[in-house]
Amino acid sequence: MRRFFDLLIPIEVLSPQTLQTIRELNFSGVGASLGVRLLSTNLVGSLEILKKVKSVGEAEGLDVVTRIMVDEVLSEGALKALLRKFRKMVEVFSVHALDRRLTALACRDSRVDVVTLLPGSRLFKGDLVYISEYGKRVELLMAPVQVGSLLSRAKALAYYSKTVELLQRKGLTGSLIFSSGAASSKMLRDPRSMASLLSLMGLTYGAALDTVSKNVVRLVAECRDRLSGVVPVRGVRIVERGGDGGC
Amino acid sequence: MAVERPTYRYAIVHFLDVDASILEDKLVAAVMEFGGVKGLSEVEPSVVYIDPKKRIAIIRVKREGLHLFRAALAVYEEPLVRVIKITGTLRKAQAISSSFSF
Repeated sequence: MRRFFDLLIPIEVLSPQTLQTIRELNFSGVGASLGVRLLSTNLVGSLEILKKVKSVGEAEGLDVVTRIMVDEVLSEGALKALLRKFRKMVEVFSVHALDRRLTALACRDSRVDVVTLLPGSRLFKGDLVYISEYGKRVELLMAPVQVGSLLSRAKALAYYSKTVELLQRKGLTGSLIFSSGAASSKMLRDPRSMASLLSLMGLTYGAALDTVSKNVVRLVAECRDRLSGVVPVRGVRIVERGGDGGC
Repeated sequence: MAVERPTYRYAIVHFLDVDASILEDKLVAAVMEFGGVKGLSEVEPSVVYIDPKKRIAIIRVKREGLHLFRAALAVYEEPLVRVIKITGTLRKAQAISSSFSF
């Protein structure tokens, strides 16, 4: 049976009521995402909220994934400082592709797990090589096609179709993640409807379902392994620890 | 040559903040907004059964337009309905919908 995940829901939206709705929508897990603004204004408080959401979500039967998302334009130095400070505190670290420098750095730095594409962001050949090499995920959000003027929503759909086509051409459909990015509980939708939307953009329905289930589950498992030390560096997995250090 | 009869799918839905009497109009508006007249012709949504008390409805859509229908519901600004189950026959849909208690 598929386990559905919505990997990007801002932490401000995740009230107990919303968590219940997410469960009713047939999701098994949710990415409690902490924006960089909230993190910088109230560091201790926001990490406390993250912990609280995790415990409430788990009581609801949801697998809550902690996540920091860089959703503002930062300098390279500021992003690297954030990565140094917070990477090991959360399970997933993502960067919104808001400008070219940030996108390039997010693709290049192996500590960033997810690159979130917004309508208009561009991925170059080098970025795609890094994404493929480091096993990063590319994330698309449903929010831009739900809100705004009809024209902006249509542009977002056109952009998504082109991105899906590009990823298919490069053999990276396994790296695609589709999340809601909901700014309120009214914007939440069931995972099969989200997959239906993506299937209209050129993916098969099975592959579209994977973007809200398998691909996310795999990413979360990889991130948890890295955090727990099972995978200390890329390409090395500790299967068993020896007794007294003998060869 | 006879025109082939379309195949349908039946969506059992739980409708949220929508009045039962205007549900079909709202669904048509959602599909129309997303797919236009062409899209609407591929979906042809119609409410075939409605239980206002339980807030459950069965919506018939063309099989080819099922994904378009669901996508239209997903991108519509307000959540109209929540799809519970898709079935191939009306009989099965009614059996499932009668088993729900909201």
